[in-house]
Amino acid sequence: MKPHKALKFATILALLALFMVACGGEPESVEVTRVVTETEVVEVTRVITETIEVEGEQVEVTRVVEVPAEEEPQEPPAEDEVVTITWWGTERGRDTATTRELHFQLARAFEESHPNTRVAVSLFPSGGFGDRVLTAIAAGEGPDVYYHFWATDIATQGFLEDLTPYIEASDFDPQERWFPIGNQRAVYEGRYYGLPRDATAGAIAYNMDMFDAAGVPYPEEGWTIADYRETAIALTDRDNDQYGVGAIVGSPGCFQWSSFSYNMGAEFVSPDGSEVAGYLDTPEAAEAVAFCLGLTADDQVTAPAGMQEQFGELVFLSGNVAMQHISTWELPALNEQAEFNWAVVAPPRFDENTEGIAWTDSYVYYMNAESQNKVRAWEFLEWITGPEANQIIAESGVWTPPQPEIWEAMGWSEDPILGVFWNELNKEARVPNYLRSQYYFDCVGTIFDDVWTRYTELGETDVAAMLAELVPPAQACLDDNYASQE
Amino acid sequence: MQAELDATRENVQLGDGRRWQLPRILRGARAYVVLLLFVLVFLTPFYWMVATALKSEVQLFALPPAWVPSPPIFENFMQVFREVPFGRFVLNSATLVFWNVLGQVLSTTLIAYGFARLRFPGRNVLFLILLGTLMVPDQVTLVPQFILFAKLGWVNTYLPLILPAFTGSPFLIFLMRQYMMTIPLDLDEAATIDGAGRLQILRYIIVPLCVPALVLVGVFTFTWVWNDFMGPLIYLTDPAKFTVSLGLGFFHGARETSWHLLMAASLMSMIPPVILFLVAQRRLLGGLAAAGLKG
Repeated sequence: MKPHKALKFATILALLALFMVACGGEPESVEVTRVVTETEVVEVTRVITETIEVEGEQVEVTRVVEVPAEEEPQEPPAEDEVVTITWWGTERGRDTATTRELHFQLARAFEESHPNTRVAVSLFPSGGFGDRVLTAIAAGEGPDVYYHFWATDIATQGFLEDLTPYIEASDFDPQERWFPIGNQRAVYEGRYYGLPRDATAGAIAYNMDMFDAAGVPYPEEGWTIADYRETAIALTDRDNDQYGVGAIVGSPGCFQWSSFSYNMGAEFVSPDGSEVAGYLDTPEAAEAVAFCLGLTADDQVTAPAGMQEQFGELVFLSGNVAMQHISTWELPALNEQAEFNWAVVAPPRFDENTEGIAWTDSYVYYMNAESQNKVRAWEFLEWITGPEANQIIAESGVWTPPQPEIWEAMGWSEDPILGVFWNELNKEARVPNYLRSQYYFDCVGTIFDDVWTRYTELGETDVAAMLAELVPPAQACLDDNYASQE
Repeated sequence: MQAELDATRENVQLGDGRRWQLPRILRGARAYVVLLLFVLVFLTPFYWMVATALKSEVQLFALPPAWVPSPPIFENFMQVFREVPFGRFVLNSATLVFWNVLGQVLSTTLIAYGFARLRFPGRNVLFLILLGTLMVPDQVTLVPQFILFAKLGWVNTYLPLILPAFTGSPFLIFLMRQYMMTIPLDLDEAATIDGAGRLQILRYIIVPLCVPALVLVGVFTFTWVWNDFMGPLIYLTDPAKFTVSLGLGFFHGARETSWHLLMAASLMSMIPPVILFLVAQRRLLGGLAAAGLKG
């Protein structure tokens, strides 16, 4: 055999061997004798007792969960030691310079009151930010503090610092400091894995000029979902490009983001995010989904799909949309750009006899569990979610802070626009369905696209049957993902 | 059926036995009309981009959509510079492009020459392994590569974005190798008889004949690096080092997008690639044709 042929043969053999090793099954068990001189059994469990409502009855459920052993607390740096912590965030797509300036203003204000801590701010584009953070954390290069909108159960991945001991050692009560959603978004299984950056709520913005022109009375607090539909129909004039409702396509406006589903008694996933069966396949869920689909396919009161997909909630700025579900995140755009008279009203409730449930949400500040500067990072976190920072944030108008005290100080609770959001933020709130499971968009979100296509384009109208068909695979998807995590 | 009908119309038998044909100018005009329609189809998105860049934010949301900005807001272009340090981003991207093009041209030429001309044991196996790396998705290597560069202390520097170019890209190596293999070996042999060494053959024979392919390597690299979003996003932390693609990302948020500014910035970011294409057009098309990649 020629030398190069022998080499080629050997290379192929080596590759085959590698392939077989890689694809081989479990290695055979090998008997190992080990002399154990000392054993230590550490049982770290937590007993969680929850009260849940089952068919109208309050039932107490107790479960025992394993928790990782507490790590030794980090040695605090000497008081006069200058430490730099890294703080990462994202731009929000508009008022870029203002948003950037706010971050630097906050960092400077913190440094003034904490002269031995420097804050290195980095703002990234919103797209891909999650990947950026995860890659950096995986390489041990993650930021000390950052904000994002992970689902609450991301805490199970282990890269978020448990902030509960820090909060317990502090002199503030989180329940009093922040709106309910601020606490709900930061807590997983009773432990704080983050602190709220802001607080937003949903409300219906309406174009007063369109209502006036059509002679339709303005909606009022306490209106119902039936009123909403009737109003939308009354204000739609497709021949003149006028629509009762703006964006609901792709499910955001109606299925997931808004309080419609809550108010129609529907939950799409369990509070812990692990169950979709028994939630999205219920008659209430089918009714809520059918209501949303009906607005577009049957009543035809929604703006063109292309406009909805491109502009989302801001399609309201066209002036041709009578009503749009918005949050405080859209307020700067509306305040700056709307060339018509507009106002907001609380989302419609199911009927006169039921209380409305609010859709609320919040970005969350997290501390990297691998941070080398946890003591200083906590000082920064405590400050940035406290009154001084929230006052600066409120004055900047970039986002609405999570602290009721600041809203009142700014007079927002009495404001005709912000007052509506204030009321919503103080209502019963729940973590939005899409933020309960880190696998929601992979496993559950696709159902809405599927149902949407089949209903609006293929003419299938039995929503309950469609959901009954689509929920089991979604549940299997969730189960697989959670199982692979264990 | 339609084709037959068209043929009949164009070839009507006249009484004296001659065939009547559609005048050449009209036949040409018909082709132009079809081509113009295609041009319109392909230019419409570009026109929409220009129009959006010149609209006010309110005009963006107009129903029905406004095709012509009225009045055109040229201020949007200045606004981009006020919102982000766009000039800095362009300079940073240009720096990365320069080093990457240099790296790719050098490394690709040398490696492709080795595969195309040198005979050594395991050459084909090595080439197969090289091609095999094309099949590995970027996501798989993202974290290990990041860890490697982090251990080297290169995060938040341009090194992770430049140095890999000096080790060659499998696709470009493949492209260059194929191109070099079309060059007759007789030329190498003649040069060898004249006393030229391997590197001299490469320098004086192969490289001058590979200029179209090298232009292709340069243009591909330019485009990849100019448009690369993930690389700079992952490796850069200091906003002063950010590139154009990251700068564009600033106008696109999770919930809101400044479409008019995004389009204005995108238009400006298109200028360097368009100039490059105009300059390198002839050689680029020649390279594409020779490398068998022409669409």
